[in-house]
Amino acid sequence: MRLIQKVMLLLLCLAMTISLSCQTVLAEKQLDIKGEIVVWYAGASESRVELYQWAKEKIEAEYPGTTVTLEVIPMAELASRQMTACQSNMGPDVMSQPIAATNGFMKLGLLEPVNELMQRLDRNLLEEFNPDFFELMREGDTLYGVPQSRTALALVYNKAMFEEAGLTEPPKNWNEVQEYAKQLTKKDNEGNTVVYGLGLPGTSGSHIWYRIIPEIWGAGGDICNSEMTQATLDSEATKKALEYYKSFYENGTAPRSMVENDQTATSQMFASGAVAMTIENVTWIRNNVVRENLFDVGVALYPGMNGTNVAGLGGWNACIPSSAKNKEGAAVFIDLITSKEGMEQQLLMPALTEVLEAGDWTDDFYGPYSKMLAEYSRDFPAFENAAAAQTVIMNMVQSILTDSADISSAIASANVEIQELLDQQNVE
Amino acid sequence: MFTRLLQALKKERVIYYFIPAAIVLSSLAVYPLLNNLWLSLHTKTGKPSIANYSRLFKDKWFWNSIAVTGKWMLLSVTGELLVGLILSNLINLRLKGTKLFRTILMIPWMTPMIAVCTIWAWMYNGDFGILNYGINQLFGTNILFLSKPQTAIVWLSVVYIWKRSSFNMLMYLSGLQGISDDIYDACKVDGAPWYTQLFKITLPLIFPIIRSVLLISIITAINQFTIPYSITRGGPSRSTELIQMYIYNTGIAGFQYNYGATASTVFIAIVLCLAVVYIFVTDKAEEDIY
Repeated sequence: MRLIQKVMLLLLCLAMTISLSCQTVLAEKQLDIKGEIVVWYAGASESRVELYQWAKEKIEAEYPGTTVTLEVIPMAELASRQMTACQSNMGPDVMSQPIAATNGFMKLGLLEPVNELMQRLDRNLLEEFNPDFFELMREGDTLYGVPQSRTALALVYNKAMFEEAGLTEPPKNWNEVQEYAKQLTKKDNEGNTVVYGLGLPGTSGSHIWYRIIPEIWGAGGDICNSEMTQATLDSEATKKALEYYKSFYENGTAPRSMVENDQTATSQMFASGAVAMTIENVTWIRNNVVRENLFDVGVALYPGMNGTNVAGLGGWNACIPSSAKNKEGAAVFIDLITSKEGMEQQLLMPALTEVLEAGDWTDDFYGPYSKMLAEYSRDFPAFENAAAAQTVIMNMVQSILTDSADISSAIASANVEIQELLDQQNVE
Repeated sequence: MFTRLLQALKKERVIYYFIPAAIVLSSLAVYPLLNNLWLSLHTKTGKPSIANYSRLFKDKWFWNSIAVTGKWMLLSVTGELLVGLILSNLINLRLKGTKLFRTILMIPWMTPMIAVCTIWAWMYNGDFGILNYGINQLFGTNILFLSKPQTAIVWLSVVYIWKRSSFNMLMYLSGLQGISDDIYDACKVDGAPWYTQLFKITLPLIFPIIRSVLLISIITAINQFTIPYSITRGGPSRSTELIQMYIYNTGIAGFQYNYGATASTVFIAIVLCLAVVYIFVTDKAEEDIY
């Protein structure tokens, strides 16, 4: 063979080798996702519906032969439907679930680790997201879900009412909140209250949980120790937090219907101008007050006993059940909805750090929420029976509001029940 | 023998017509009941155990829900019975417009329960409820309907009585319309006042209907879930947490399927005992009347 022919042959072999290597790399990056991808989610949020629809269309266009089936499960039954389905090995491929639920699923072995699947899609989850977001869905280095959104509560207030009362800055601690609430409460000529200074929920386990536990943390206490073996509710901090919570109801600066109102009813009173301040999440306020142009809303950091409270994290995770039939497809779907492009589709609040630190999320309205999320938030203790824990706390708060029990005995009783819940989950 | 068996099977028997119903009933009722019992006697991991029962009987909130359900049953069943009887007797007067009133009175029964609960919750609300405003303005009171643990169950039972009385009214009306006018004519001739007619004639004659409707009312009342769940979520201070809410909160919302199955098994046993006692007592009462 002539030299040129040999060189050509060599080059051809080299080209083929390189080409084959690329194919291998691509094959590793691309996952085999033909078939159906079933997604279960609560279609409660308009932006989530749009996002999921966008992801569905994109996948079906890029992967011919693949169909994405989006199933909306009503919010109230989402967690129980997912649990029942996963335990019967009949779960979907992707589950969107509240962060409070993920830990329980993980502990029962119902979730697929996502590290390897997401790495194949060139994702580095711990770098792209705040590592704290994975606290309740990791065992060592193994991650069991991808954060989709995260929220932390903040104080929202009616700016016009603040101006009218001569208040130039939002309150920063308990004393100021109590003082402001008194100044903002207005009565008519017959002595009926027409505007309440502060709205707080008095029913619904989760709504009370999200608002009383941060107060307990702010006062220096907690519901249990970090190992979750010992209930620590019976403390001076809890007593102070409950006295603070009750003070608004007692002195008439919170609605007289407080015991009957969950946060939604309270927020509706805020939106209608009957309440001047409340503690609420970004989604509700944006959708029901800001978008409706009802009035100018101020947002401030969540005031605690001596400064800003640490708020409990809320939000959603995207997880893959261990019984999923199309895990690769699930990973591709999750990759899309948690990508920069996906997160930019107005998800509140986007969990991806790159999106959270940019543009709109730092303005006057979103800025305090972003700051709460970045600097003043933590996960709630991961109770296996979160519903029961929330009911215990709700019952404790309601006993005090209705004077069915004094603060000390209500706390002692709740502490015993929390300890029972911890004992049950530690035995199991 | 086999041939004889085949021949016997080929004969048409009445019992064959029950087979489809038996299959449906078995799969939809008997199997779940047995599965429920099995779950209650096993732990989450499938180990046989009576730990669920011992835990249930030590749970103060289970006994609380039983007590609340008992209170609820007394209030709502009594209310339904009285209101249903009063309405049926009024409709039976056959005055002008009673047909229209009968139709209007059926509206609560036809309205979906969740809509009823939502509207009543708004009406009861301490700040913007029309009932709250109206009654407190009219009587100068300061009632907070759903905020007091001692009385919240009473106001919830008003909702239930409002919803269900018209159904009872219809049942009693059918019984009243079956009583011959000759009996009342004879009473008038004898000079019997209206209350004597009511207690000595009307009620005894419609007793079989009252007995059946009462049993249905009791069972429906103690199975109630929607009203406390939608309006008060079992509060304040779990004073309106009926047994069905307790079972839901522990078994479904709390993901403790075995424990929830235990609570519902005990509840079924209570209901069965109640039904047996009721039938026995009312059998005797009916015999005494006739």
